[in-house]
Amino acid sequence: MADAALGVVGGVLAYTPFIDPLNLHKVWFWLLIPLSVLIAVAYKAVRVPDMKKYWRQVGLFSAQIIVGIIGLYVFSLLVLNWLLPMVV
Amino acid sequence: MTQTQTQHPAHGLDLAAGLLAVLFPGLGHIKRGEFKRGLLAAAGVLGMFFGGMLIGGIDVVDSREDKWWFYGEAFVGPIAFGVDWAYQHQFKAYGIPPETDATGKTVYRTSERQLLAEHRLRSVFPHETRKVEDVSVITNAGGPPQVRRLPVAVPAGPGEGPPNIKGLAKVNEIGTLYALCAGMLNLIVILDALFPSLRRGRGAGHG
Repeated sequence: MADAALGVVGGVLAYTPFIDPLNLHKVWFWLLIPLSVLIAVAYKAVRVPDMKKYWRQVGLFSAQIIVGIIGLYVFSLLVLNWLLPMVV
Repeated sequence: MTQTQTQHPAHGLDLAAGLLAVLFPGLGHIKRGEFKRGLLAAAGVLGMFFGGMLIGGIDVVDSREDKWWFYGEAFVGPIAFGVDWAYQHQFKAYGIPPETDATGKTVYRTSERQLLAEHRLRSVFPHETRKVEDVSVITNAGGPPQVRRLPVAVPAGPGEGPPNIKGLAKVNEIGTLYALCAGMLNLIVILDALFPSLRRGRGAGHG
């Protein structure tokens, strides 16, 4: 009964949202952008003194997180492809 | 200086708001009259949590197989525990190998010790399905085996399959990261509701 209520029984091949994963293996890195925005939405909701500046702060913080991720990517790329081959 | 101390009180503890924030993201702020803050915090936290589930499936919340991640996700509150309960009890199955008795009937035998080890509760594999069967269980206390109704992973027949598809690789990692960030951010929201005097200027930003 509980299984049926949750849609567990049957539905072998059908995709069920929130139960089965999405096939986003080739574009996974784009998912970091909405994550950055959602982090900024939650964080700035409790940290911004003046809510009039809220969305501007969310935009700025999202951009900072995204730039930080890109920076880490470039740093890792340089270490793996340039620094480590020089050392080893 | 005096004015600054008035605007930023050194002490302040709102237990009721903290408790409500633990029960549901943003509820502590709503209780304090900060509706906009509460709603936006809830939107961010729940957006991340359910966004993670949308990307990686229900498998991203798993207190048994990914317990260290779950410790972080648990800060989302009862919602995280509810999702984990549903996953453990409605989707997973025990990996008890089927045996054939003298009459040719398929039976399942295990022990309480094996139920915590090689026959433990696990995700159902793609070639399997989940069925609730009578299982003969030898208890740790000894004595005759007990018959229990347990979910068992059995080979899938035609038209059958697992109750959920287990997320793998990057999709699972990103989904789990989403849910973990939701928990970590909600911890900040809970602390902000619990200690309101440690944050902004008094009266600022009431939504």
